[in-house]
Amino acid sequence: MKEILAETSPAKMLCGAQKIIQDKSYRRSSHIVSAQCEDGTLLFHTLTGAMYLFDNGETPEDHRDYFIKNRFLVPEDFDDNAYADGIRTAARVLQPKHRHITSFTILTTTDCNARCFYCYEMGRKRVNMSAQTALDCAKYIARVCGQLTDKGEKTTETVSPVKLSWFGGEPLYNAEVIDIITSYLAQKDIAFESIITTNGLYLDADTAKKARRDWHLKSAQITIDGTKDVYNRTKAYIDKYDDPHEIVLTNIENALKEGIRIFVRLNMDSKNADDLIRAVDNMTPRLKGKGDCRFLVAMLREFKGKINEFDTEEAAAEKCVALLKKIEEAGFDRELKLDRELHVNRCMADNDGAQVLLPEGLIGKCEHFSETEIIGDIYSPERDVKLIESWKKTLPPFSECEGCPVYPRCYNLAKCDWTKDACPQSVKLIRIYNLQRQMQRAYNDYKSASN
Amino acid sequence: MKLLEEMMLVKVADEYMVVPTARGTENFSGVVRLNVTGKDIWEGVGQGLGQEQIAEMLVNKYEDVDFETALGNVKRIVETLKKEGLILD
Repeated sequence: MKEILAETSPAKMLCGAQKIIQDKSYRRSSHIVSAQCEDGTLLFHTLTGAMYLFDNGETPEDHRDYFIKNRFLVPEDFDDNAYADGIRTAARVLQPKHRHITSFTILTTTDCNARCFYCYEMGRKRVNMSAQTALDCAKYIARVCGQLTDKGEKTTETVSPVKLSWFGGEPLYNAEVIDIITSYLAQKDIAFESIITTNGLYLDADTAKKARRDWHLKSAQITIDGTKDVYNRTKAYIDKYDDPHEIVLTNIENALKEGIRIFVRLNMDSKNADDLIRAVDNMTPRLKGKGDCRFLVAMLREFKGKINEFDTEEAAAEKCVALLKKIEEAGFDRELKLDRELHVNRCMADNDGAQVLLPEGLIGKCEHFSETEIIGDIYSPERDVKLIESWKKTLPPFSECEGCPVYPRCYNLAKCDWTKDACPQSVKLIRIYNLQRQMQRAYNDYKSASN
Repeated sequence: MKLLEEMMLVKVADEYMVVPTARGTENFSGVVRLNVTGKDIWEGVGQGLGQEQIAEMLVNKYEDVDFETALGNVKRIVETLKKEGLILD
């Protein structure tokens, strides 16, 4: 038995050592994920962040007192999920308050050149941000990001760089807005970086060059729905191109050449699951070795969070894992570091340091709500505090959460359409699969560091 | 007696934790774990009760504890929390 990763500092402070009660029966905590490696079995505690290697057939039960203290073993009648909720509540209370807004998701437009059948924004008004509103947004960002004093001079305070996330619609459908905002911030010497979610059709070579240079673009997420015919049919671009799929792949190559990290998002349902495997095979020779390119899988589902397309959850999970394995074989997996932190926020919606700036200069808390859930605007300091706080309300565990090893990583916001129902079994299986891969990588890193 | 301001009582399964809010970290860093009795005492101080009143509350709540024992527990825990700066005179 070997400790590979100690529990994190916040977990150590908040959880402390569990008292050993004599004559009490103990069982394994439900918040443990196991993964096999060449040297034995890895066990990772998803609340405390600790990981151990058990070799030679050993188990935590063989070191009972030690693993009671570090919570791998808990009393038989212990409520694992209630405990995790309490710890995360305490961690959340301890979190430093955000003094500034430093993260902005900016919808340059709600219009789009594609007509994907699965788009959750279907039916909404198509609104472009005007040049004037863009300039006003830039001025607003400069005011609230904490990098300038009231007099407009650079502050001596250490503040995080502004993080901009360009969104839409299709953000490049109104790229002028991005030029205006980034140009203003640069003029004011405000440190910023940006990322973009785009279909990639307009990310040509010149735009990629400009994006890197002027927009400080670090990464772009581009969706590929399948091989050429499947992709072109799915996207149904309103402008007529001979082969948009080819244009987008070329644009991905150009962006990689400019040093932009590309996340190729593979949107999957039962209809294109097998085609996506072929798509990865087709893209590999074009994209491998061309730059920092990673593939990620997203299960297509209705915005209500239910998977409708597969016959069973197991069938969905099986196809998804097959695609994840294909991506790994091809060398495009995300190589995410093992996430050991206590999760106290879900996303921008419950993060006081983040806002969504909408095309009309309104401010929201969630990028999926462009017409409702408005907390204020860039012209007035008034905010709907009740609405802001309502986004932080979490749901109690679902019955399906009982015994779930990744429960400490879940933060189900009551207003979020993605999480207000229990996660499908397939999503749980995929999360565990990804976590197991990360555990194995973390162990390999440990071995390399030890040699 | 009064509680240090900007501290929050959090229930963690069968235990309780006193945690400073963001503003509270200016006066106190770290967390304090309380059992159920400690929680009752904390809440009693928060309600402005004196030590003997809190002991009476405990006797009413827990049938198997006498007043002397309860008062002893209250004094001990209050003393500990005072030393940590979480209860002020």
